[in-house]
Amino acid sequence: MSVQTMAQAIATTLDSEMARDERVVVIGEDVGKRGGVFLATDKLFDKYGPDRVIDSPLSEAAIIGAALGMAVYGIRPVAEIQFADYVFPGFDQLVSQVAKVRYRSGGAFAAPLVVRMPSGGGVRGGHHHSQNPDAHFVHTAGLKVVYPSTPADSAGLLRAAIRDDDPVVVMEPKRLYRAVKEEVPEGDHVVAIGEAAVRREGDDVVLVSYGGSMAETLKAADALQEQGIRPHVLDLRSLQPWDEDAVLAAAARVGRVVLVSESPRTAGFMAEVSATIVEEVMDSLLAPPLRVTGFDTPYPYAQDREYLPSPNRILRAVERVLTY
Amino acid sequence: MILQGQAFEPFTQEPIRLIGDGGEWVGPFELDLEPEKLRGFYLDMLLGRLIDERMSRLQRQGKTSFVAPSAGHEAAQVGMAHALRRGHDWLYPYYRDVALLTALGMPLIEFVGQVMGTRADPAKARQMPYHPGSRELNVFTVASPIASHVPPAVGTALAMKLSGRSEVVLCTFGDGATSEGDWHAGVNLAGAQGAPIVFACENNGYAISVDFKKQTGSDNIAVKAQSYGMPGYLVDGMDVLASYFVARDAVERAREGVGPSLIEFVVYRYGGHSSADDDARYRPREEVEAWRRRDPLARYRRFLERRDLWDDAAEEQARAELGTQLQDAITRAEAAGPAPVEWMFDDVYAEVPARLVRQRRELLG
Amino acid sequence: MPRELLLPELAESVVEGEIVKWLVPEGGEVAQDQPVVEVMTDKVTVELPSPFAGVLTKHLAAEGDVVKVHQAIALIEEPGAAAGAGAPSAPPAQAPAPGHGDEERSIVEAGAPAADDRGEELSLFKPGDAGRDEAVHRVAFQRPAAAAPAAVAARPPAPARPPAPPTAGPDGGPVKGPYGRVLAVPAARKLARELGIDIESVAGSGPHGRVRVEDVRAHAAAAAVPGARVAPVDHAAREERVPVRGLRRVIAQQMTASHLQTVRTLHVDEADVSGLVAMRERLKPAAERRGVRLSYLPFVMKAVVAALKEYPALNTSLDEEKGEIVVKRYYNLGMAVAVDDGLVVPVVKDVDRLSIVEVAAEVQRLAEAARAGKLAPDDVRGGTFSITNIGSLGGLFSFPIINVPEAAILGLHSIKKRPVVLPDDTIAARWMVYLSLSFDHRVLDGAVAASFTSRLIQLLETPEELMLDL
Repeated sequence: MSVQTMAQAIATTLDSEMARDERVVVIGEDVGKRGGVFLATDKLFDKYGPDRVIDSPLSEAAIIGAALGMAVYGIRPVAEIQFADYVFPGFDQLVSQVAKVRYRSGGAFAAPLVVRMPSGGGVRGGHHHSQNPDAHFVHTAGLKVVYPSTPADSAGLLRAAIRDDDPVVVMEPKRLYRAVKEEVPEGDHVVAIGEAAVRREGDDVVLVSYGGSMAETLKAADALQEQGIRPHVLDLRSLQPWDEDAVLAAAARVGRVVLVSESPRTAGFMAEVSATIVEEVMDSLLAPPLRVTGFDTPYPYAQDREYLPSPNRILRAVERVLTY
Repeated sequence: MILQGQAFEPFTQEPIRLIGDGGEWVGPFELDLEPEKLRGFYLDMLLGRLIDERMSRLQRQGKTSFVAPSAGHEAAQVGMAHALRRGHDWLYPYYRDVALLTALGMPLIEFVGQVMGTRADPAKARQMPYHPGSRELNVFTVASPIASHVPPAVGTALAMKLSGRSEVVLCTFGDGATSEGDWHAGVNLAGAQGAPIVFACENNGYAISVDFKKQTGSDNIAVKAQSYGMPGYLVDGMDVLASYFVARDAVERAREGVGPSLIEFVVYRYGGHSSADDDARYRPREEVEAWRRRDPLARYRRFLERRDLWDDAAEEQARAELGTQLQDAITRAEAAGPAPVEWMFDDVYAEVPARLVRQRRELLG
Repeated sequence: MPRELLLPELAESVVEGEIVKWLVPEGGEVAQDQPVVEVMTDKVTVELPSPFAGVLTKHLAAEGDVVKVHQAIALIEEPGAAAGAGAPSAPPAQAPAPGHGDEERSIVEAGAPAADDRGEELSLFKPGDAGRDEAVHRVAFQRPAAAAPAAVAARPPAPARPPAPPTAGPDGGPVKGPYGRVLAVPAARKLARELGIDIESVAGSGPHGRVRVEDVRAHAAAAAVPGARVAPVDHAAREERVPVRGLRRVIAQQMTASHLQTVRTLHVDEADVSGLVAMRERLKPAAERRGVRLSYLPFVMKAVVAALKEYPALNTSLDEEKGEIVVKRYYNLGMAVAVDDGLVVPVVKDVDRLSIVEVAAEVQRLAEAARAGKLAPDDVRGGTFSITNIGSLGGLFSFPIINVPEAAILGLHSIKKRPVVLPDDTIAARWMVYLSLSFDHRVLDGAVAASFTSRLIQLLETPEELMLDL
C-alpha cells in the first residue's frame, strides 16, 4: 500500500503491468521523456526505453490505429490521447476498426488494447480541454468504457483494462488527477469491469454518478446526511458494461433516483440509465429519475464551475424527488 | 535475397517495366526464375480474371449483392503476392485485391463464401462482399472506410520490429486512399519509426468517378514517398514481373530493417468501381478499350509463349481446371446454407455481455 | 493593508506546489512583474511574477513548504497603502479568475439561503440557481416523527412532507395532469391495481394533488373498515385502537373487494364419504412411507378438478372492463390456511396434472410455508377456484367468501358420523360431510352450481372413479 494521487496510481500501474508482461507497451504524444503532460506515464521511458514507451507523431489516428495493429499482432498497447477532446481525429479508428475488428473478422482478429484519455471539466480549459465524450464510446458496440473516480479504482480498472481481451476506453477525470490522495493497493489489485461501488448506504434517495462528478455527488451526499437524509450513493465506475443490477436493485428498493453526470444531458449516458430504470422497475418508483448533468452547450471557459453539476444542483434535484 | 542488379531506382519519371508490349524481356538484369514459377504467375492472374467474371454473373443472378471488379489489376496483385512469404508476412489489403488474396493462398471456398455471405464464410457473414480476411494467412480483414487500415498496418509493423522478428507488412490501397488523413497518419508514422512495411498503391486512375488529376496535385503517388522519408517506386502494374521484382526488393529491404517503401502500381480497372457503378458516365469507352489492349494477361501470355512456356492447349486446360474449381467453390458455398441469425450476437466482445444476451432473447425468443 | 500573494493554478489538474526558493526576502522591494518566488509542482517549475509593486512584508510559506493552489504565500504592502486610516481600503486579495470553482469553500461558507422557489408549475426543473450556490441548499424534507423502523423492504416510503390534506379537483374529483391522466406516482398506480382500487377515486396528498402510495393505502383502509372515518369520541378511554396493518389490512381489502364485487350465492348439499374415509385409511401408511401426510383435501381437490372439467363455468373469472368471462383451462386450486394473524390462500398449481400423493405433498408444503410465513409471492398467485376447509373448527356449515377474481369457492365441513336412511330404508351410521358452494351469480346460475355440486358429491361418494383419470 502507498498513498498516491490518481496520476501517480496510473503511472505506477502502467509500470507494474509493463514489468509483469513484456507485451505491454505505451504509445502516445509526449508519453516518453516528458512522462505525459499529466505525468501519467512518468518515469516509464527511463525504465523501458523508446521501443516500449513510444513517442508518436502528433496524430490520434496514428496512435489508435497503430495500437490496433499492434494488438492484432499480439502486443498489449496502452494508448494515451492527451485530452479526450482530441480523440476525434482517431475516432474513426476507434469506431470503424478497434470496435469492430473482432466482429468483422468473425473472431479471427481481436484488439485487446487500452485507450486512456483525460476527460471532463473543472480545469478551466474551455471546450477543447474539458469535454466528456463518454456517450460516443458507450454507443459503439465492441468497446468497453470505464471511468474511475479514485486513485485506487484508477489503478484497479486500468489493470483490468490492460488484461481484458477486448478494447477498453479508460476515461480519467483530469480534475481529480491530483485532488485526492489515498491508499492504493499494490500488486494484483484489479477492479472488475462492470461493477459499481457503493459509496454510501442509505434508503431515502439513490444518487448515481461516476468519474469527476463523484466529487460533487459525495459532497451533496454529506450535506444530505447532515440534514438527516440518508442517500444511497453508487459510483458506476464502468459505463460499458454498466452495473444494471446494482442500480436497479437500489432504485427498486428506494424508489427515488438522482443521476449525476457532467456530460451534456441530451442522449447522455444517464439517459440510458434512466430509461433502463423506468423500463425495469417503474412500478417501484416514487418519483421520476432525475438527471443532473452538464448543459447542452459546448463546454464554456468562464463558466467552468457553473457548467458542472454542483452539490447544490444535486441537492435541489434530491429535493424534487423526495417531495414528488 | 536481393539479386545483384535488381535494385531499382526510386522516383523514376516513367513506370518501371520488365516486359515489353510484344512480350519481350526488357529488364536490365538476367531473369533467373524457374519456369514453374513463371507459369504460376500466369495461372494466378488467370484465376483472378475468372473469379472477376464469375462473380459479376453471380451478382446479376442475385446470389451476391456486391462485386468490386478487379480485372486489369491482376499483374500488380499477383506480383505482390509472390513477393511475400505466405503465412509469415502480413497483408493489410483493400477490397479489390481478389487475385492478391487467392494467389497468396486463400481457399476459393473462403473467398466465395464471404462474397455470398453464407455459412461458408469463416468470418460469419458479417461484412458486405469483397471484405475477406484470414488469420491463417495473416491477412487482416478488409474494412470499407478508405485508408482506415493504414495506421493499423503500421502498428503491426511496429509490433514486428518490437518483437525482433523478420516479418514484413504489405499494405495496399487505391489512389483515392492517399487523400485520407489516416493514410498520411499511417505513412508518416512508418517513416518516423522506420517500420518494416511496404505501402502499395494500385492506382487505376479513378476513385469511383473522380479522376487522378482531381485527387492530387502530385505528378504521381510515388513522389509522395519523398516527404515521408522513404523511397517511392513508379511501376507498370500491368507487368507482372516488374510488379514482382519491385515488390520483392521493397519487402526484403523492410525485412532487413532498412525501412518502409511506397510503390505505385499503374493499373486500370476494366469494370466499374463496383456492381452498383455506371462508369460510362465518367469514362469514355475508347479509354477503356485502349487500356484493355495493354491487358496484363495477354502481354504476359506472349512473354510465356516466346519462351515456349505456354500455348493454346495449356490455356484451354488451365481455364477448364480453374473454372471447375471455381464452380465447385460456388456450389459448396451455396450448399452451406444461409448464415444463422444468432451469429449476429457473437464476437462483439470476447464473451456475450448480459445486456446482449437479453437482446438476443428479444429477437430469438 | 497588505495584499496577499496567492499561489495560482499553474496547470490543469495541479492542486499544490512546493516553495523552492524565495527570490525576494522579507522587507525587500518588489516591482510589478518581478519574479518573487520559485515554485515547483509535479508538472512544472516556475518563477511567480508579482502582480503588483510594493514591499514584501512577510513570507507566509517557507522554502520546502507545500502549499495549496489559491493559498496565500506572501504579503505585499503597496506604496502608500499603510499611510493611514483615511486611505481607501485595498481591493480584495487577488481574486480567482472568473469561473474558478472551489466547491469546498462554497459548501461551508454561510450565505443567504436560496429563495424558496419550489415552483407551482409541473416541470421538474426550476429556474437557474447560478450565483446562489454559496450556501448549502437546505432540502425541504421532513422525516415523519414516527418513521417505521421495519425491515427496509417493508418500510413504507417516507412521506416527503408532513401529511398535506388531500387535494381534489374543482368538481371534487381527482386532479388531472396535463395529458388528462390522474397524477400518481408509478408505485401508487401499481398498488391501486393490485388492490382493485380505481386510481381516479383516490385523493392525492402530493404536490399538485399527486396520488402517492400512502394515499392509496389510506383509501383502501377507509374502504375496508366501514365507518372508520366516524371516530367515536365517548368511549375512547375504554377502547383499544389497533391499527389495521399488514396481513389484516390485506384481508380487509380482499374481503371488501369480494363483498362489493361479487353477487354471492350459496348452495349447500351433503355427501356420504364413508367410502372415501375407508380409502384414505387404507392409503395413509403408503403415503407416509413417502413422507406425506394424507388428508382428505387432496381427494377433494382431485374430485373438484374432475367436476370443474365438466362444468367449466365455475373455473372462470369475470373481466368487467372488457365485458368478458375468462374460462380457464388450467386448474389451480387455492386452499385457505389459517395463520396466526389471519388467513392466507396459497395455490396448488395444475392439480389436474398431479397425482394424489403429489397434491398431498404440495398441500403439506404450502401449509407449512404459510404457517412459517415463508410463502413465495408465486405461491399465492394464479388461483382459479378455491377450497376452504372449515371442518376442524366445528360448525354445521358456513357461507364462504369468494376469493376474487375467482368465480366460486367450496366450503368443506367436518366429516362426522350421522344417522342416514339408506336406499333399503335401513338407518345406518355413515361418514357425512356438508359442502357449501359460494358462487358469483353474475357469472353462472344456480342450476350449473347445483349440477357441479351433484357431480362432486358423486365423485366423493365413489372415489374409485377418480382412478379413471389417473
